[in-house]
Amino acid sequence: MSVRRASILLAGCVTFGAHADGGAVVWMGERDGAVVAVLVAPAALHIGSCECAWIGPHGDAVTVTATHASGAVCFATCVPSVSTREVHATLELTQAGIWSFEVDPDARGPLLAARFDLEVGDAPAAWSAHWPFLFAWVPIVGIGVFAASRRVLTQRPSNAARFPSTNFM
Amino acid sequence: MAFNALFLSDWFANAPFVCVGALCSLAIYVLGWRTIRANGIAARLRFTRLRVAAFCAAWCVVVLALASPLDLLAERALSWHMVQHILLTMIAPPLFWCATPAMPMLFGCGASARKWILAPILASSSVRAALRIAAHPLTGFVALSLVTVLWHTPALYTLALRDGWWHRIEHATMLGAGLLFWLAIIAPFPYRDRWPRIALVGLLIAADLVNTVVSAYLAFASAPVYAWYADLSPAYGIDALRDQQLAAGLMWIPGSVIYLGAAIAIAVAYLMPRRSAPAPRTVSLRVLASAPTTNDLLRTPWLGAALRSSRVRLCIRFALLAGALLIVLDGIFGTQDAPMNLAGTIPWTHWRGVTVIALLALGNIVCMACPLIAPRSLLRKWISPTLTFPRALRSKWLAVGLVMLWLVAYEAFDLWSSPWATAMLILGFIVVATAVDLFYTGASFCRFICPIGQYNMLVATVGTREVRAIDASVCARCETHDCLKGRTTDAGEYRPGCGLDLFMPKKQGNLDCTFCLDCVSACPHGNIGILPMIPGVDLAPSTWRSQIGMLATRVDFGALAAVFTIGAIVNAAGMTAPVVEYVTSSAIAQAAFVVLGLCAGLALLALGASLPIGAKFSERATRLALAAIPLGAALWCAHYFFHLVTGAPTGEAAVLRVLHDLQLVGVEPDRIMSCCAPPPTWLLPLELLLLSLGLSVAIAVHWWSTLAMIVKGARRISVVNMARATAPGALVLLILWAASVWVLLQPMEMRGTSGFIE
Repeated sequence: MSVRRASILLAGCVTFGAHADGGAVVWMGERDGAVVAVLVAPAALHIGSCECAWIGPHGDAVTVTATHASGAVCFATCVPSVSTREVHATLELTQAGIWSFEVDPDARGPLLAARFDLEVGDAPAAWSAHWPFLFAWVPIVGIGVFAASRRVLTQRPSNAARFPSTNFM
Repeated sequence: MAFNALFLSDWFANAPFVCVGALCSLAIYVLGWRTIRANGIAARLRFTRLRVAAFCAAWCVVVLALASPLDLLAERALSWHMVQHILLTMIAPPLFWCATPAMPMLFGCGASARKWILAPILASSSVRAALRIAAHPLTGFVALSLVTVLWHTPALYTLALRDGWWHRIEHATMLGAGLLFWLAIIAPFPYRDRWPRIALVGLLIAADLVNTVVSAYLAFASAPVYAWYADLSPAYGIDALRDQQLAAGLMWIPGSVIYLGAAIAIAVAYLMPRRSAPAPRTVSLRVLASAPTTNDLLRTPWLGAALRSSRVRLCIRFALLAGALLIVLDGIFGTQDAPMNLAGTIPWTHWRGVTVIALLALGNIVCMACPLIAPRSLLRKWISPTLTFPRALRSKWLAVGLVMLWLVAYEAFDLWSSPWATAMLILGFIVVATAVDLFYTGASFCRFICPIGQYNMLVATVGTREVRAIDASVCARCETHDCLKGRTTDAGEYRPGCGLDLFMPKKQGNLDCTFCLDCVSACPHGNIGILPMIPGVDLAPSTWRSQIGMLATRVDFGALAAVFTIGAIVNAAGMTAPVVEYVTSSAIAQAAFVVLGLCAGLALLALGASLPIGAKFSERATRLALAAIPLGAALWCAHYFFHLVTGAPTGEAAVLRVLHDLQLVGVEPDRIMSCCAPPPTWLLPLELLLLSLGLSVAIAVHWWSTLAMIVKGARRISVVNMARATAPGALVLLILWAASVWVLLQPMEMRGTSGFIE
């Protein structure tokens, strides 16, 4: 019985997971003698939202510019993050293909900026992003059918005959 | 590292699900804990307040580990990640078990869930065997050791850092293994020790050894083990190797203190002489017994008193009637720009969204407050109708036709985009309702005509409350049946009985009940309440019901249910981009879309009922249509939630526009569109979750109905028979669910009042 509680917690933890994290370090370099890194999440980019974090010394205004081969441009200004050395911005990438990123840590011009190219894939199907909610009925129905089967199939015939007409409140 | 307040709030906004899960779990626990403590002194001695504190603390630890900035910090520094792992494997699990959660959670689930879901599952021999294995001390030790070793290998560790889903699996397995391990150590009631307690000392020492080996591996490594931190730490100004050594220290020292501390506690308890009067170990709790219902909405301090008063109910109706007339006036005389008119916003965007929440949370409380019946309630003081509603029309067929007409007209004439048409519609409803109820006795309009009322009653079948007799034995002794006939009080005041002729002892569920609560005022015993019910529970059983008879043989109810569910899909599909693109050419095309959609849906339901399983086709089709109601209700809810959330600002704009027109405010609001606010990220998951719940209840009702038909047909009940008989209907329900999901995933538009919303 106590282990049932454990399984509920386990399932609950999977279902109610924390904010999606992950990502990849896409650029590293030096600035003013200190190591700096750029982190992009998710690790495999698709059309949609993309988090870009600058980790290391930076100025007051850190900007991120992403330019697609077709000329489309995304621009965002970073906001403070979990550490004083880290800032991050969210970009909405609208097209698949190669995007050229430029992170300017203090808006002092192109010389100090970090530049790198990333490939962006097609947008994932809308359902795939929300499958835990979409298919939440599968475990519920599974448990319900199992319980109902157990209850009905283990009843004596006389009880089973009365079963559908009983009020189960 | 310095925290940033702005980022903290941002983080909590991004991780609501852990908090929601924690709150739900806490609510169930506390409910069950309170129920158990009502069982006597022995129960109170075992389930002390400290148990609740432990449960709260355990969830706080889980929330801290998974839904706080700690989860992000863990990606940036190994030492923080180690703190997170310690919380999940060594702190939270023992706290959970100290709360002895099994019994409170069982009692908190409610008697019906215990009796109908948990008891059959826990009684299953295979489940019990699995539980016996899982609860064995060795299982927990092996699970925790594997989790500790495997997740600290560089490949799996990096995988979890790079991918959010693997990260969740990592945390879930850590918490799960921790729970399995600490179960035997804490041995919460009613766990029975599998080994002598002293043997657990060895298990704890062994667990500490595993922990020590992993810690030592990290502590004495000459280079950073995880490439992720080796890359990132310098950017944070941290030495990666020192961070790793700190993490190893955190794992080693506090880990050993916890494991060895528990071992010492067990050894000391074992070696100490036993007390002569041990604490009570046996608590007798009737797990499967239903507790007497005390959760009556009419007995709540403020709301209950208000709802019990017929005058207050009349005042609510008149207040809403005044609001309706204001909307009518604005619809006729105000601007015809729908998003800026009260008639174009309040009834279509706000009223529908609010009512659907009320229907789910409180039952058909919406019909109770209906402004349409306010005039009749007053006029019947002077005009007493004598005619009974024509026998030929005393069924749901008229309502079925009107609901279909409503669906067609709504789509063909874009009613929501015309304030004038909306105003005329409201006015027409008030006039017809008043006229019908002044000609005919009872609540004939509500029961046989009103399409809105039919919708409310059907949604309320999956609500959580119903009007019901509190104690059946009181009704059995009652000889006056005032709830049906009405009565005159000692003060000479006449209190009418049920206008829908529902006899309380034979009433079941929310079908045909408008929650007018006249029966409550009429009952001299105070034996009627608004009590909890299981959503969808009254859609399957074959009991005889007052004024309905056998629901499964009422084809008119089946037709109404079918139109309700198929109508939900057609109505929502009417505002999706693909449909709008193809059918906006003319009103005829839009009407044809609705009619064809309804026909296709009805044919699909008929197909699902085609397999003969011991009942007539009409009964099979009716039962399947009734089973589909929860799915239809879920889609209506999702649809209206969408409008409420995305169109909420139109209400403010329309009210400001009216105030400006009346020269009460100086500044005219800017023109905004319907569906103007971008949908928040949680809306689509919530809509999909609603559909999942709707489908679950629908399949449960269908299964129950099929069982009833098999029993009726005197067929043998077996897994094969049940699966064969249930499959066609279940497949149809799945198709309807898939269609509903498709609708929700499309870009949405309210024709003529907004652009598309992705």
